[in-house]
Amino acid sequence: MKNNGIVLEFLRRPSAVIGLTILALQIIAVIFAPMIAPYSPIEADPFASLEAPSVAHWLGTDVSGMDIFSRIVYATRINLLISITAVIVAFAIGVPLGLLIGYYRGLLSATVMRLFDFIQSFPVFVLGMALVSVMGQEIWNVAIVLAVLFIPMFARLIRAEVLSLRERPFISAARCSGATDLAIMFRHILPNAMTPAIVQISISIGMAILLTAGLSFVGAGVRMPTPEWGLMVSIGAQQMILGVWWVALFPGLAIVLAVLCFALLGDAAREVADPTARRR
Amino acid sequence: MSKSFFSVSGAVGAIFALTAAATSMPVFAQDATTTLIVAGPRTPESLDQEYPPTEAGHEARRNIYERLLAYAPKTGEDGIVYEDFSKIVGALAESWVVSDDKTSITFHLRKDAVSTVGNVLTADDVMWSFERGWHLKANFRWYMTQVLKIESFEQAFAKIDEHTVKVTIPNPSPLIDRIWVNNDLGILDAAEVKKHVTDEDPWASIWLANHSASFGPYGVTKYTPGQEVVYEANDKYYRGEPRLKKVIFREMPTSANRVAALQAGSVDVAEYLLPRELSLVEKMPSAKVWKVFGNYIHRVEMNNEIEPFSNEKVRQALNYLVPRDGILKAIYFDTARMTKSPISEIYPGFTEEYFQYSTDLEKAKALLVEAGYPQGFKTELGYRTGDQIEEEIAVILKSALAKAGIDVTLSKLPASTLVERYSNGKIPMYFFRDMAIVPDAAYVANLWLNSASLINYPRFKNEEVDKLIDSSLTSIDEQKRLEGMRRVQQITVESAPWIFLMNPGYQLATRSNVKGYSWYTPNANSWFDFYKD
Repeated sequence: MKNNGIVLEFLRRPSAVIGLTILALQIIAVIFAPMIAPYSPIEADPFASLEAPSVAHWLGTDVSGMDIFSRIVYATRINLLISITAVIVAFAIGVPLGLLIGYYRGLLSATVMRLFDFIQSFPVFVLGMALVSVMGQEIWNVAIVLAVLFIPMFARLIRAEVLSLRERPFISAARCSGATDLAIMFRHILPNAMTPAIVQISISIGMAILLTAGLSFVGAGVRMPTPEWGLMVSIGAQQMILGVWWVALFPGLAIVLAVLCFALLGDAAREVADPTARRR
Repeated sequence: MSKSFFSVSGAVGAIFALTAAATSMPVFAQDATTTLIVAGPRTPESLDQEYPPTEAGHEARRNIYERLLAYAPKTGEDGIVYEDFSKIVGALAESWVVSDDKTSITFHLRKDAVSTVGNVLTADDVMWSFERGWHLKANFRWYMTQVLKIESFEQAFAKIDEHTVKVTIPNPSPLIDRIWVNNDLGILDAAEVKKHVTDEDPWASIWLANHSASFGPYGVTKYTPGQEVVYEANDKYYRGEPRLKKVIFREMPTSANRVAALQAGSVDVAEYLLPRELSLVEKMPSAKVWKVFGNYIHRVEMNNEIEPFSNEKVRQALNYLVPRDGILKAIYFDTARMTKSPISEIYPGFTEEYFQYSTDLEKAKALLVEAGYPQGFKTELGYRTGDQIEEEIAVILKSALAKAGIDVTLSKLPASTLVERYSNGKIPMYFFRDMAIVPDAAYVANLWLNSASLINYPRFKNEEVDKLIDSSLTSIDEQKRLEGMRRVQQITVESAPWIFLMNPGYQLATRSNVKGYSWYTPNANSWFDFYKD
């Protein structure tokens, strides 16, 4: 019953409704891309180069004559796949790691924290470009790079919670009653420390979409002609000088919508999870 | 809400930053008609003519060095001054004599050629330039040993008197005179350069990398790699004082920025614009685009030694799959022409008679079946980071080849990595862009098709072609040479060592008051010919 209450509370928020609507559209695009897209997303037709939006090509074509609408639809698959994979991996590694270094404070904890400082001291973008150029321009590599960038974020959030929780009386009680460290960590601390990390998931997916697009824009993301929003904006930006606006604009809007969707969902989740924010 | 607002506004901001890539750098115009401001993609890597040839390097050489011979100028119907390849004229050599058997050439030097620092040309300058080139084992040495087949410096080069120099070669060469027109064979002001010789640097290579000392129309007074080069006129130049006293070359790597600077009037000349940008500049009333077809080649080479490209039929099939008309229209805005021979179309001996590749999917599929690849195959195509034209063509090629089941992975690689991979034979297909600056079919064939050539990257090997090239480089029977080169073109087109694509031409965008455009084979602008109204 308590869970139902939270779901209802979540759905009462306009930001959640808008976010879920956009998410639903994206999921439809992911699943039904071959049915929705009128053209192949990678088939070039030089004789249909740079055609303005029309009945034949709803959002126009790019310089190689590829249909922009079809590419945007298919790109949803790639962009969401990369972003969600990256965040799930980062969550799966970052959360237990944060729990460990929060619970056991010592040399290991200090070393891991300094390693995080090291990763986070680089501008995210520069580090991303460096890693992708070393590992190669594959979809999975981009996802791995993003995961590496996000692990410290999750781990730090959890660790901060653990640091305060481990001093609480109920933990001392559990320890006195003979519970093992493992049981204390996973049964008593983790459930109470998870909330900020769960809220962070949604925000991270938005960030991941933006980073993927940015990496592709500077040429360190996925390969041409993979349908990917950032790459599409990148090739479109070169045509702006000719007054050809549609090649860059539409994939740009797709990025904005996707980021907006996860930002709104994250926002709603935070308000629901945080009692002080909920009391309005 | 603050956190999510941050990420949303961050997203919007990023999109703005992504799409608004075309912004201009402030460049201040000087209204004097004697100063020319040029925007190009990069400053020369070095001012030394022994540095490996590059487009930017060639342009510096064209303006600061003077050579022994030149081609006579001829004005085309388009008003552009070209070189007349059939007529050689003296440059620093006032006159010259080639022996009847074409094994020696004697140069009689001008007595009125004065360098940028005021030294008068003598035979010692020429001899020291030869000596330096020979010892540095780079460009000069390559031409002398590979083209003229010289084996010993002492036997080949001799000072006859203060104003006469003789070059003797072991075998007859049809190129014995025209080789000296070459952009890389400038004569140094030896008296000036020698001031900068040190024990560790006996040929002043360190000094010459960023200084100039020659008898050409300009001297470099400021050279800041990555930023600018300032050329100042040699007012005692033997062909007359240059009309432009000062030429300032600014590096602007992004072509859209060069367009914007030209449009704003902050530069007079914008080099190397993209075809679509040129189509835009042509519509500006204040600007003009000069277009020549030139000698560039742009093609996709295949490694002829590795499967499946070791099979001639596969290479032919690929040539039948390319939609050349579409590429011309979509990518080049009709500024390019198809290449139908390995030899540049403007050079003597060129023929397109043997070119039979149209876009013919059925024929390509039949060839692939004969070759044993009815289902196609997987391969990789490399192109240079930052080269939009190559990327756009690559996308079209991938699509076109997919129709015959060939699955191409496109690899965007930094130029240095791409060159390393294809020179080591480590990539099956790659874009190749080059120009052969000596207008001679045998010379061009020797560069790209001789199996012993270091830049025959596709590793094309045909014994008959090798023999014909070797005999054409030594034969002085012009008719026989031309026949041999026709056969070379026939064999090459039929065996398709590469995917024939385009001659992108050379185009220069200028303000409309800039006049005097001329074209030379290295595609380097000669500022001496330019002037402003």
